[in-house]
Amino acid sequence: MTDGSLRRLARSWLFLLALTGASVVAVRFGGAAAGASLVLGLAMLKARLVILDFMGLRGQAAMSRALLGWCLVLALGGAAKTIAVAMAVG
Amino acid sequence: MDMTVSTRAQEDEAPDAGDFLLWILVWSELAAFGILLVAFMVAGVVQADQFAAARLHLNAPLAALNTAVLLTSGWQAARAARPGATRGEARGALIVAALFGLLFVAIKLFEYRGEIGHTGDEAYGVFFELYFLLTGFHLLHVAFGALVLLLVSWRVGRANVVLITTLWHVFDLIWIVMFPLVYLA
Repeated sequence: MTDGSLRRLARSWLFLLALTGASVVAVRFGGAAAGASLVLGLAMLKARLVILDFMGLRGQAAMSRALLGWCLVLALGGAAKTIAVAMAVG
Repeated sequence: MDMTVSTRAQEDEAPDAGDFLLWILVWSELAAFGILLVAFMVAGVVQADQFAAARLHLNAPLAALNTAVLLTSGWQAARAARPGATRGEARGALIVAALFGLLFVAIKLFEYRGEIGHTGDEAYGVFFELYFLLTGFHLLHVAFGALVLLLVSWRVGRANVVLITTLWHVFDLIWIVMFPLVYLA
């Protein structure tokens, strides 16, 4: 199913590792709400790379959008939860 | 003779991305994990203080390392599934993907050792019960998937490689979303 070249796959993998490192840095140095939002955004970027490059769904808009949609709904839920908790704490 | 050749050809024929049953399986997995993650988030709003206290006992750096391990496994699975891969290349990549999957399992079990004692503690609400349910369910999928990767590497066939690597990427995708929601957000 993957349609990427070896070089593209390796590049995506390195980018995914960099995004994972950036997530840890964002949590350590960002505030609770800002850090969480940034981390969820980075997770969306990672999901996009896995779907398009690793799963090879670049040419299949409907399925790739549906999978990204699943990730997006949960990421937005996580962001909403963080905001709700921050507002409740004051 | 012709029959054998024909059967082999059919076995090696790769299902395309629209393969109906494969995607039903994928979406049933995503639905199950989606429900669990929503339950975890709702409980996190209702028991915000307990969840914040419990999260301090999680080992986020180790989970980040495990994310890298699973992504590396996914990269190898993608190498195995690319159309230009020879049987030998696919076999090697599948074995490496499985080994990284098993490394993920080992790291997660090591991580559990420091967390299992907190279950049942009322100070943390239902955090650890849901945490073990959610991550344990995912861990079982990864462990089983790694064994299937090894099995497929033994009998490499295009259709089998596409099926297991697609599922493997879905486990990857679930972890990518689960990691920030459970450990960080």
